[in-house]
Amino acid sequence: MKLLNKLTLASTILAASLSAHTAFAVDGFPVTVTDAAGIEHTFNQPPKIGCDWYGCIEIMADFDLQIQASEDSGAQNVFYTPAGLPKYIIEDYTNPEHWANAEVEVIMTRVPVSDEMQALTIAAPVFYLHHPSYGESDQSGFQAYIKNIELIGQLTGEVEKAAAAKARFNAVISNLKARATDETRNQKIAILFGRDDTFRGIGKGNPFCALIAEIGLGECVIEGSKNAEVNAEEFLKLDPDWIAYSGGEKSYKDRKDPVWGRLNAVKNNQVFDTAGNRYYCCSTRGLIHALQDFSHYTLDNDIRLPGKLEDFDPTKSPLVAVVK
Amino acid sequence: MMSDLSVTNDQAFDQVVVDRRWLKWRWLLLALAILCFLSLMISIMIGYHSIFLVPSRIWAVVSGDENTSKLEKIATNFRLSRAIMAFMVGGALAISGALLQALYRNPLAEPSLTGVTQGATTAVVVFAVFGPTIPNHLVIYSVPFIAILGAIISTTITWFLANRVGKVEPLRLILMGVLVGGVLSSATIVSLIWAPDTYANDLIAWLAGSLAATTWEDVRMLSIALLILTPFVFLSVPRANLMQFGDDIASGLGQSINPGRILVLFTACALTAVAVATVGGIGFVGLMVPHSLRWFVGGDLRRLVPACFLLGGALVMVTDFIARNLSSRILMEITGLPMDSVTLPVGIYLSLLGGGFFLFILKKVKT
Amino acid sequence: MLDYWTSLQPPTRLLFAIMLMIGLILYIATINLRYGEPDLTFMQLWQTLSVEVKEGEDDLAQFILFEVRFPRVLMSLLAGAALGLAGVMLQGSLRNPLADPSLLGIAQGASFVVAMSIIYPEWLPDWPLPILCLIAGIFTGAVVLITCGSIRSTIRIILAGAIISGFFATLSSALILLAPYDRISGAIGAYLRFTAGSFSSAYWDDIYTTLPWLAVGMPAAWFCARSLNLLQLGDEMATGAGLNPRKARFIMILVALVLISPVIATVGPVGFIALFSPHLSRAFIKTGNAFHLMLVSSLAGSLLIVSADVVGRLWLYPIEVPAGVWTIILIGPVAILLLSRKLKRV
Repeated sequence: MKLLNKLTLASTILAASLSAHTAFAVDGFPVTVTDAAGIEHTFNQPPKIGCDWYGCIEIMADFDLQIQASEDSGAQNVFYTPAGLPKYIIEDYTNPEHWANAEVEVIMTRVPVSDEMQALTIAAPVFYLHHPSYGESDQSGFQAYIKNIELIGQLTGEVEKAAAAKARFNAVISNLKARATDETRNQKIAILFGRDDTFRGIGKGNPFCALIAEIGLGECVIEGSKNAEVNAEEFLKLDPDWIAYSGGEKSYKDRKDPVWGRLNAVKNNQVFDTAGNRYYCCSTRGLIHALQDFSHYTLDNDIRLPGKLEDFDPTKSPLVAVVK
Repeated sequence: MMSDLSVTNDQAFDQVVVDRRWLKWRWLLLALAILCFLSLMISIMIGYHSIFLVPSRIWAVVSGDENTSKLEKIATNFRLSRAIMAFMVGGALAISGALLQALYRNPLAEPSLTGVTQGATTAVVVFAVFGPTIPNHLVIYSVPFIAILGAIISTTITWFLANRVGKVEPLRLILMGVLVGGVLSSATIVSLIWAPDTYANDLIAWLAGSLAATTWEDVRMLSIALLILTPFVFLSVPRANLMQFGDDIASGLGQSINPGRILVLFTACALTAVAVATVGGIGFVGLMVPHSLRWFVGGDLRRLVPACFLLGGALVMVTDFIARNLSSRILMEITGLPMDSVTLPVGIYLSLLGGGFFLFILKKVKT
Repeated sequence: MLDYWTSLQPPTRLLFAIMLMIGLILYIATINLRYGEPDLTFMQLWQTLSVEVKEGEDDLAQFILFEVRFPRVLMSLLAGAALGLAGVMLQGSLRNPLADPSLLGIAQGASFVVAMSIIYPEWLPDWPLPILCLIAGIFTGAVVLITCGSIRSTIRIILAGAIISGFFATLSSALILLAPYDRISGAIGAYLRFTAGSFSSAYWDDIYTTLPWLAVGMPAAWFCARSLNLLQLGDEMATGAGLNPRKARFIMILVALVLISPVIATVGPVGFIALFSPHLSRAFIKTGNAFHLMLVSSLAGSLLIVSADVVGRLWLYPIEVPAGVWTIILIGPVAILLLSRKLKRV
């Protein structure tokens, strides 16, 4: 047991020393930030950030900052950013050695706090970002993503870039608000997962649904925040005006069940496949991308399609560009 | 019943065999200890996509030498804690299997085939999905109790049902165990429907049995739990030893059957449950290890249990070493399918290995 | 009351049992046909059923009834009948009271195939699913037979089955853990729904897929009933009566698989129906006659599934809960209780 205690002690000191080494003073540092799980983190200089979640990767891309290391999920972490790809790709995100090997000084993930992530504190402190509908985060809706921008802004010392990213998002909201009409406000929207012939979709509590309701682009018809399956007859009665179909490798065109063919949205050709499968997630960058996709179909065909999320540059989004 | 004379003759003959077995056992134990040490060293030395640690550097970290790099410290801490955890989990499961096999008088009895593992996993999953939220720092200490409770409830149900129509008979017990286990594991999967998608994914990984999230805190928790259970194991061994020769002989020797059985059953349940609580549903260790050791040391649990502890530990340690260092990229290249770059939980390898082992011996074993 | 029931002649008991079950099935099916969106009164239901469908006329109630509720109820009845029948065949031919697709690994094999088709649809389009499930079933059967040598040892078959379920469940978990995040989001729900077994997307298409299989399997099962009765007397007696037990068993298991595969492939392995219906029927009509048992067991299966589906559809309406959730949570424990008596004779 003595040996165990010694090692535990060593690892605690180690984790602390990783963040405590001082080199040169940066404006605003040392900084103390409280994360979404209520854990306090103190840094004497901007830490090298390792991303374990899309939300982190997307905000870093928004800030044009190079990521020190990121989890490997195929092509998904190759975001458009002049700063370039992450320096290291973590092959096994559960392995603290890989994070340590990449010289990461803070590992960013999302709530809820999990054993798996807590086990990585031996390599670097784990910072939890807000994630609506998961865990004990006090932020809900899309405001959680704005809060995340502020958190990473504090952590990196890039307050202006954080402000710019927030301004960009607010510009998108106000631009679209200006174009929203009573007609769009009353549109009924359904965002479905199309893995099988069921009606399983994201509910009103989801950030994307909250966002389009706030802007006035429509109301999601499915109740709740969990992704529950709705009875087909009930869905027919809900009668959405628009259906966004997030079917992975499957398109809405593959769908043949009789209730589907009877939906007014389908009859009126007001269905579209979403660009990418993360319509409801994980940052303002993702939301702008989804909004551009969504408003192309439901608001104005002249707003061009956003393309893949990986290649998406929010600064060039027509939704931002129209501002002023 | 045989006459007294023939019993004495048999005993004299047995004595020679037994002496030879004890001698063999000592050598085996030494060999197993060396095996454990070697697998521990390899586990700590090699890490995929990371540094190679020579023994002198490991020693430098363990002895608290200041002159070590961060990476060396992290690697040693991580690999060592995971290897120790693997060792304890494997040892606990193997002993649990040996006890259950004696109890059920069936060499195929195994925690995951007698409803013990499923009871523990179901309790933990149901609590995680439907139970109240508990503060994070308490989770690690509450989960073992929930798991033990679940294992005991499911085993008691099995026991009670098998007992309902008469005395507890091994064959019926194991049939009920498989049935109860089957119903429970279906119920576990079904209760995941109420969990959010991401959470369901985490629980599926846990159910498969993973050592990835091991911390020193886990190691300390499990070692305390095992220390508490050690006296129970010592008490169980002689009782279980009598049981495996059959109810008739055991009662003939003047042992009341049911309290002894309950003690052995509780010990086996608790050993499995504390292991399951920390790493999830690892199966088949309790089958493979005692079964292969019985060829060498015979059925006497006084020899079997210590050997099981060492070999079970070594088996899980080596398998976890492979699991930790085998990237899914290889599989991705073979199949050409897009996959996340992850390592699979150790439980997956163990259950594929154990399943094969089981089918291989099933034909040879008389049930 | 109970004495009176047992004192009746077996054919009378059978007749009563059949009438009672058909009555209950009709009652519950009517509930399922009436409620939902819109709710219908008996009069409306009757009118909608009796009115001829006119060309070009577009009536919502008619559509819901004929295209949504009716196929769903019919599918649950068919699935129940097929599983109930398959249960009798499997338990009788293996002489094993625990024979059930979920306990023998057939269900988990099918779940693996479906997990593959949900996560990697470009690799595995859904059309060959019944065939793949049949192959998974045959694979399981082959492994059981090879490893057990014979089917006489009940415990060996159960153990081999448990191992194969574990094997396929492990493969499914590995698949889910390996799948890229963007493929798995939204897919886990679909996979879990399937592993339980749900009728929420059962339409005429699924019935057309299932029917040809059942059209072969059900009459074949009926033809096997005599052999099944003979096998109950023991292999020697059966051989004496001119039956080849090995061959008969092989054919019966195959027929059971033909009945199970299309059901599992379209609506999922609705848990423990095949295990429970034969025991329920045997306890009810108190006979071992396979002819009687097959009839009552398939009705019992239909009754159980249609009830589970009513609960899954209407209890938390409009949220759907897979029917298999209720069969597993409610029937599972009851099956254990019932079997604990049975098993003393093993």
